[in-house]
Amino acid sequence: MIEALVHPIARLANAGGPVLVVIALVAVVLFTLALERLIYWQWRYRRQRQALITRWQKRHEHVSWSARTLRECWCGELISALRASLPWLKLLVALCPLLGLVGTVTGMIQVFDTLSITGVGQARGMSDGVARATLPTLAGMAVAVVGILFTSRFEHIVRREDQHLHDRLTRATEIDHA
Amino acid sequence: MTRPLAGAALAMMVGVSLPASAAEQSAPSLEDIVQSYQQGAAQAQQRDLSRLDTLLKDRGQLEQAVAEAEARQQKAQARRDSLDGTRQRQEEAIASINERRNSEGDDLQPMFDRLRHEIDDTRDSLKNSWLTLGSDISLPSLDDSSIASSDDLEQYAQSMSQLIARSAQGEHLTLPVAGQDGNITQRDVVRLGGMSAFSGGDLLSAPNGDRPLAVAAHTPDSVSSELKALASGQGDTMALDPTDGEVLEALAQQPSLLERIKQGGVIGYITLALGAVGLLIALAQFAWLALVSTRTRRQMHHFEELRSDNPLGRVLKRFGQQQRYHEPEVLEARMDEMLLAEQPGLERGQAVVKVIAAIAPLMGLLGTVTGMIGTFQAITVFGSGDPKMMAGGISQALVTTVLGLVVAIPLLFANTALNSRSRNLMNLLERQASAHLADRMDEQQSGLEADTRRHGSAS
Repeated sequence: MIEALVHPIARLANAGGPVLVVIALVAVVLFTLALERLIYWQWRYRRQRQALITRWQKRHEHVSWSARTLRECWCGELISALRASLPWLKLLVALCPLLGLVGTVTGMIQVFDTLSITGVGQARGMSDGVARATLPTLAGMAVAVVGILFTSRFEHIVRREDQHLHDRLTRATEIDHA
Repeated sequence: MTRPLAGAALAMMVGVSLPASAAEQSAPSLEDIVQSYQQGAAQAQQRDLSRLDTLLKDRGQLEQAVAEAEARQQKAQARRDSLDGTRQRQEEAIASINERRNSEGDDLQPMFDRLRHEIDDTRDSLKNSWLTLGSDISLPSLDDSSIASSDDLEQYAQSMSQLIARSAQGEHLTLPVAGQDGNITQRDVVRLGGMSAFSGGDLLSAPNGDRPLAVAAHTPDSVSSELKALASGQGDTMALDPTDGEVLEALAQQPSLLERIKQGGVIGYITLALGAVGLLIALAQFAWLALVSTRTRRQMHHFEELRSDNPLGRVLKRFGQQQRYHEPEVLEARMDEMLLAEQPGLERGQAVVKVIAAIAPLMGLLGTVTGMIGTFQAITVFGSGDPKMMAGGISQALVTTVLGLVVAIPLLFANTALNSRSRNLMNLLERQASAHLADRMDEQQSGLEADTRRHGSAS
């Protein structure tokens, strides 16, 4: 069972060379970080937001300059915590095509090495290098596309949450004052 | 006196080509030589004349000599005739024997040819085989017309069975082996059937006739350690070169990492140098940011004592020197100004790192293009017939691309790390300063109210 699962992966890693393994590691880190962000947003962030709203409601006054500054400050803290690992996610997404390119070029070098040893007669001898040239590019692109979908979506979520937070804080005090 | 002598010696060396040393030792004059030569010629003429004289005088003796010679010739003629007769008889005998052999052994002839062919083939292939290492297996030698005896057949079959037995054996031998430096030493050699042999951790290149064994040009490290383990009986895996040394030769020609970098040329070196500079800057700035953030965090725990070795302490200290009872907007503007003044120190070096990260792939592209120009020049000169000529230039072109990317990737990492770190610090500063400001405004407000109340009650 495990053998049947591992074997195709091992074959793929062997055909794609070390660069493919690096891309796989980057993908694992990328999607782990993404999952962690989603879980954070769904659980921890909501609790913290609720705590912030009750803290704001408990304050004796909400209209002075200092109160507004303090509110900005608290909101900023919460939103930047939500945004924390987004730059790293973006970096990893940007890295994937670059790694794919590295794989392409090292694969091409291998192709030309084979060419300089065996001559053009043996097209079969080159196929190893060609696989190493094409597989990392494909993998890099695939990971990058999924990563971009996630990061842009999450960016949107963060922006929406920012507005949402301000709205809710204002509404909370309005209800209080009314 | 010396000058004519020297001149004569020179003339003899050039003209007569006598050994120079003899000419220098005796050095007879040219006239003497001519004179002695003329004397010798006169003497020889004199001798010939006297011999002719005696011959003419002694005619009887001459005729006798002729008669003797004729008798000798007749005798030789007779002997030759008899020998011819023998030869003819023998040829007839050979013809009849051959005829008999053909008629009796007609079926055997192809077999003999076959055997001879096989023996020659075996001998040729044994010349480049590991099987005969350390043993002398002798094959029967048959020439074109000889008839193979049953002994020969037996010997051939025996040596073949020995060879087959040896092809399944691995054995330790001590043989002279030529090392990489060309010195031949007695070394412990392990022979594995007819497939391979190695000495220590080095594969041996295929044997070539009578020449001593030689170490292969390059044995990969992993293979070398495998072989060592196998020779000492600890390992059970080994590497084979099924192409008779072609792969080993190709491996020896494969450039190492340093040679690869060298292939990148000037542009490769420039890219690497840029990368090193960028990494150093990033490391220095990262260390600085780490220091600043620990100091800032320490400051956050001790607000009563403001230090000026961190940005938060500096901002709050300068802010504390402000006059009281300012409008909130004015205070906020002052605070923004102070925070802006702290920003460049925290973001120092980021621009350089970012620029280098952007430049490095471009440098790689530049190297690729210059390499391709070199390749096309090679095509112009040598034609496209030999792909090996182009392949060198192309792999050279690609190495720079790899170098560019290899430099860019860590710098992108460093840039993101620096950026997020400095932004975190900036946010922290802003929040702390704002919180401090808000506290102060509250204080000021309550102070103001207290003052008004006091004044009100006093009036």
